[in-house]
Amino acid sequence: MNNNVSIHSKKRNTRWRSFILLLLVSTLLIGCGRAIAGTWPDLAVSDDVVYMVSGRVFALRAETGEVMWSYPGAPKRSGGLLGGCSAPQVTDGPFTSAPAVGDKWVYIASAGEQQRSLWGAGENLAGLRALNEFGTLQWEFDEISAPALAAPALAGKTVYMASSDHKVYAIDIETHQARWILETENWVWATPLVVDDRVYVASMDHKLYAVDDQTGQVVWTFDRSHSALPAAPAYAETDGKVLYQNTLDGYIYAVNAQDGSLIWEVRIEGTVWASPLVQEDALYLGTLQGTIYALSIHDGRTLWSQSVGGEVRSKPAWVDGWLYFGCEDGKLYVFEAATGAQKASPLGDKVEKASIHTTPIYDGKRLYVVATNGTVYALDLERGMIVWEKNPLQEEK
Amino acid sequence: MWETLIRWFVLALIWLYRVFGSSEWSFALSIVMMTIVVRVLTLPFTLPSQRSMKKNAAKMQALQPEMEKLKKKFRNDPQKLQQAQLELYQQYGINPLSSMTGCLPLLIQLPIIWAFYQSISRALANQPGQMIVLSKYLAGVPGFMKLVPLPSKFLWFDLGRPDMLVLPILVAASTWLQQKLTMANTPPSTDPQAAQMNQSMMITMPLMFGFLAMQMPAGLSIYFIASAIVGIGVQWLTDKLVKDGGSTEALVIKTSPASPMPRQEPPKTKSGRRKRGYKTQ
Repeated sequence: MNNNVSIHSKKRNTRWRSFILLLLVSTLLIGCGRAIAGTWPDLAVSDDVVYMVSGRVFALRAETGEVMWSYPGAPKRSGGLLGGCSAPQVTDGPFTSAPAVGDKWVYIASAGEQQRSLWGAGENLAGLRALNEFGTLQWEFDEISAPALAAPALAGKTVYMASSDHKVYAIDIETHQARWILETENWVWATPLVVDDRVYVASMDHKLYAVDDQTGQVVWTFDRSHSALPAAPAYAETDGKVLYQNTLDGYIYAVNAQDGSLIWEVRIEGTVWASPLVQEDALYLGTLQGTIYALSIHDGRTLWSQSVGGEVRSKPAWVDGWLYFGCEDGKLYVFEAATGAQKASPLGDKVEKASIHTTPIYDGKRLYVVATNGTVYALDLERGMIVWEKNPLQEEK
Repeated sequence: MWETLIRWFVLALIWLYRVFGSSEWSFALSIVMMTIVVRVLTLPFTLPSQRSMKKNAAKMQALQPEMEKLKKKFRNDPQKLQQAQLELYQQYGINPLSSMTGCLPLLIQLPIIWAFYQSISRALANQPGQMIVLSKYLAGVPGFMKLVPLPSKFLWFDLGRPDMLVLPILVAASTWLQQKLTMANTPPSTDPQAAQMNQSMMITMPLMFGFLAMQMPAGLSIYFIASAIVGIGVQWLTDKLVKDGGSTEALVIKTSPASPMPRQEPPKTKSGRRKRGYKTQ
């Protein structure tokens, strides 16, 4: 203790120390507080390759789960006092949505932001990337100014990419230039749906747009929704060409794909985040409040409903008359499509402390499921067992 | 409990957004209005703490000549100096631990301010995961779901993204002004170390808040600015309250038969009578 320091000055020091301590705690809370995950892993399967996307893109061999490549390479975490709070240094991305796999290239949308500083705009990490079969970047399209969060759609020689800059870009894969750009009034988080010569775009501006693919002109706009459209519509030709669009406030609209007129609408209890799955004469969907619905495709009446143990953020996979729904509680729920009867899941209680927010994918042999912790499971449905499981994120640690 | 508090703040913000006309300016206005409401609600914690600190500071200031004498007297005996100082504090009714208890109200209100801060972030949901949380907050509240996503544009700012220049400067300036006013109303420290620290805080605090504003959504910068302005108002109110009802009290000695302090004449009212309740020796 310093003899010259009086109690008075010590009091002042204590006050300042307490103040600085509080300030530091607040700063740490701001910087490292519990953040809500903005996105979750996504999955695609093509030509015996499973693509798992969670910040980066991992290509896994479908037979064994072996990691073939990742894009970009493994990030390096910066050191220093606040190293634990700082994000690892990545060279591209992050990537949050499934790729569209073409004959030659794999197309992925980057959710990276335009880097900004006091000195002006820096490197643009948002855009489209085309990778070859070895995961090497071939070309990119970066004329967008906000993250691209939805999976791109590929049809013919065009990749359709939605962006949080309110736009949808139709990018020619030969010229690498935009053929047309659709501008909406809010973010577009849904993958554009391409049917014949029309592109259907669901926007968070509460509207569904039908665009002529040749000209990029809006053919019609469906604007009767009371809330935002977070997912692409489902399409079926059972009752003519009809789009089935879900909204945040629980409405399901059946819209004539030709002219955008309303055929029917129903409102279910809860919030519907993912697109419905159309199979035979029914629509299958889940709500964030944890209910699964089967609705008639003809008039929207409820055929059956079932409760599950948490949020359902994705549409189900359909395999031989059975529906496979991922759920927030980490379980894979299996229901008979016709009756809603439930059966045991081959995944069981394997997923712990994680959720399943991604649509499972069936490639004719196995059902692939990804949990929010990045673990991919390959399930043999006939034998009711896990063939392999792999977490490429943890393997690198 | 925590989530419920945040949800209520989110609902209040969105309700105000609707009240203000659901236009481009509405969300910024609702942030400002909610900041005022939150600061007013936390006044019962803030005001007594600031008042007590200010009174204490005034008492300390009055004690300075005495302290200097004691320092000279016990120059070579720090233990006796400490004891004499404690006795002096007791005589004047100063609690040496009051600066620590002064932090307690700040700690109590911290969760409220932090929940409000979180609610701004959540209401401005600009990613799917955040929108899911927001839509669950709003589910079941008639008419609220149609208001989201909230328009994030305000003037030339995007409230959901950091602004790199104007708002950080405003945040730093308003923080500096608040600091300046706080310091101006606090007696200057006689301890060179503390004085130096005060001086350094005057610069580092605004700079740090300005830097934070560059990292966080612009909506939160608006909260910082509004909060600093309200803080300035609270400071003014505290000063006024202390001046009106407490400054003279600071100089009253509880029990000091051999007090070196000059006796204070009690203030008189306009009619010349002594103020009621004024303590005399």
